[in-house]
Amino acid sequence: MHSLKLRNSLVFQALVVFILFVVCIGAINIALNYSIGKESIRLNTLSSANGLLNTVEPSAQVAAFLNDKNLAKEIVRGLLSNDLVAKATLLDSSNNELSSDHKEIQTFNVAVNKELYSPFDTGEVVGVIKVELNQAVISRLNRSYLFNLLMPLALQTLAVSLIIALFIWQYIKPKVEAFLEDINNLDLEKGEVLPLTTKKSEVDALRGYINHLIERMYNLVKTERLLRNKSEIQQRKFQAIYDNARSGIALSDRDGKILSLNNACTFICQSINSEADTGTNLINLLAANDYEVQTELSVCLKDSTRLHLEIFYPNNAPDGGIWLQISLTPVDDTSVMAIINDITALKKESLEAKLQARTDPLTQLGNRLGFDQEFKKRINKTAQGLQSLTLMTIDLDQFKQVNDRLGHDVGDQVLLYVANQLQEVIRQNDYCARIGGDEFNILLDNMDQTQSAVIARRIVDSFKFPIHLTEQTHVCIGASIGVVFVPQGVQAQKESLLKRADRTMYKIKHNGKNNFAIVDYSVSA
Amino acid sequence: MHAMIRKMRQWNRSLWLGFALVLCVPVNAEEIFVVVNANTSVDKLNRSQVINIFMGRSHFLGEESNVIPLDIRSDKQTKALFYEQLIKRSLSEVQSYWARLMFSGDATPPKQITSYTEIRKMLRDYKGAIAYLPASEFQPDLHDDLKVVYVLKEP
Repeated sequence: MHSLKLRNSLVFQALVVFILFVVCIGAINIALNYSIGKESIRLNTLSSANGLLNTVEPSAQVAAFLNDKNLAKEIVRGLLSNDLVAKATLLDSSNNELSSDHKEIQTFNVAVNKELYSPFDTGEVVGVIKVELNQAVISRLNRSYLFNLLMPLALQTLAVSLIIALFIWQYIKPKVEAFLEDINNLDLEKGEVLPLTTKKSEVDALRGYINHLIERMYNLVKTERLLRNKSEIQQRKFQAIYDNARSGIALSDRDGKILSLNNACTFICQSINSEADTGTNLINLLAANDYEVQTELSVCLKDSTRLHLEIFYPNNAPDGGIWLQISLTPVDDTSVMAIINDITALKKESLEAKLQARTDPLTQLGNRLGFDQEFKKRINKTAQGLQSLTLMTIDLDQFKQVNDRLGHDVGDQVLLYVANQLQEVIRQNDYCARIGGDEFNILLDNMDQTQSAVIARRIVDSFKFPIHLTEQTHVCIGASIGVVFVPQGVQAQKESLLKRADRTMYKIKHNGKNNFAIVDYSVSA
Repeated sequence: MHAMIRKMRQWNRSLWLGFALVLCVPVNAEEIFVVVNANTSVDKLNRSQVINIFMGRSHFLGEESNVIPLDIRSDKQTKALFYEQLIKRSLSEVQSYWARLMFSGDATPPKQITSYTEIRKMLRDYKGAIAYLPASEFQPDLHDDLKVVYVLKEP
C-alpha cells in the first residue's frame, strides 16, 4: 500500500467534516443561547435595579414628601454605592431636583424610574426616583455569560473530536487498509475471492458483495471468451467461403463505396473491363453507362431494400457479351452486401433452347410456334401504324407425289431446297416458317401490293424448272401462293387473316396451280 | 354532678366579664377634634393639610408661617388613636419616622406637651399652634377661644 496524503486520509476528512459540523451546531447553539441570555441579563439587571429602588423607596418617599435635600442626598449616595448604578436622581412632585449624582466616565444606558407616593396618602405622587445603569457592568456581565457558555462547548467539541479521531484511527482505518490490501492482492484471472471472517460486520457484508461481483465478472469474462472463440471459428469459415467462392462478393457503404471485396469479384469485374478495388464506387463499377441501372442501384443502397438484377455487358468477344446477375442485400444500417455472378453460360443455354423451340429442325426455318410469335408481333406493329404487313401462304404442288414415289429422304431434300429458295427471295428481316409438311408461310414488312406481287412472282418462277437433286434424280414441283396485304394502321385478326390467305391459296390450287393471287385485307371479299 | 355545676358557674362568670369588656370599647372610640386658636385665619383644614402639618411637611397655617403642632405626651391612647386614624400608622412607626429625620432633615416633630390643660393654654397663647383633643377634653361652649378646623372620625 502506498502511504496516503494527509489531505486524502479518511480520518482527516472525517475529522474535518465532524469538527465543522460541531462548530456549526455550536455556533447556532451559542447564537440562540446568547440572544436568550442577553435578554435574561437585561431583565435581571432591570429587576435588580427595581429591587434597589424598592429598598430605598420608603426613605425616598419621606425625602420627597418633606422635600428634604439632606435625606435625598443620602439616598442618592447609597444608590451610587452599587456597582450597577451609574447615576441616581431624586425629583420632587414638581420635577425639581432634590438630589442627583453620577459616577465618573460612565456610559449610561438603561434608565429605571419609579414614582414616589406620599408615605401617608398612597394617592398622592410626591416625587420620582430615577436610576441609570452602568452599561460597562452590563457588558461585563454579558461577556462573562458568553464565556461561560462558550468554554464548555469548545471543550466538549475538542473532546468528542479527539475521541472520534482515535476511534477512526484505531478501529476503522486498520480495517479499511486491510480490506484494500486484500483487494490489491486478488488474482482476478484465477477468479480468486476475498477471505471472509466469521464476524458479521458491514465490512464483511461489503466483502461478500464484492466477492459476488467478482464471481459474476469472472463468469461473464469466461463466457465472453468462449463466445469469442466460437465466433472466430465462424469467421474463419466465412472467410474461407468468401475467399474461395466463385461469386463475386463486395461490401459497400450506403454511398456505394466498396469497403471490401473478394478475388472472384475482382475477376468478374475484369471480364466487364472494370477495375474493382476497395474505394471504387460500386454503381460506377456495375453501371458506368446505364443511367437506369445507376438509379436503381443507388435507390436500393439508400432504402436498404433487396435487389436482383440481370445485366448484359456487350463486348467484342465472339459470344457478344457477358451476363451478370447482381444481388444487393442490406447487412446493417451502414453497409450493403453485393453478390455478383457470371451467368453468361446459363443465359446462352436458355437462349439456345428458346431458339430451338421455335425452329423447324429440318429446314432451320421457323416452325409453327415461331411463326405464331412473329405473326402476333407484326400484326400488332401494323395495327399501331408502324408498318404494313404481307402474309403469304405457300403450298407446294405435286410434293405428295414426290414423297410417295421417291421416299421421305428425297422429300426432305426437296423441302430443304425449297427453304433455301424462299430465303434467297426474301430479305433478312422478313420471316419464313414451315407450318406443316409442305406448307410454308412468309411475312413481309413494308411492301405494298405491287412489291408483294413481285416477290410472289419470283417464288412461283423459282419452281418453274425441275430440281436436280442428284445426276439421276430430278423432280418437278410448283407453288400455289395466297397473298394477303394488310395496309399500315389496320387491325387484323390473326385467324381471319390466315383464313383469307388459305382461301386465296386454294383458289389458285383449283384454278390450275403454280400461281399466286393477292387480296387486300381492308377490302372485304 | 356538683363539680359540673361548679364548673358551669365559673364559665358563667367569665362570660359576664367578657361582656363588660366589650361594653367598655365605645367609651374609648370618641371623636378627636383638631383645634387651633380662634383668631387664626383658617377655619377649616382638610385631611391632607392636617397630615402635612403634623408630619412636618407644611410650615404654614393660613397666614401663620410658623406652625407649631402639639402632641399629647400623657394620653397615649388618644395619641395612638389620632395617628392611627390620620395616617394609619402606629405610634412606634411615627416615632421611627421622626428618628430617621433626626440628623438629616429640616423637619421637626410636634412638640410633646404633658397635659391637655397646657395644650389648651398654648393654643390660646400662640396663633400658630395646632393640636388634637379628644371630645372629653373639648367643650365648644366652654372653650370659645378655640376653634375646630377638622374632625377625625372613626372610619
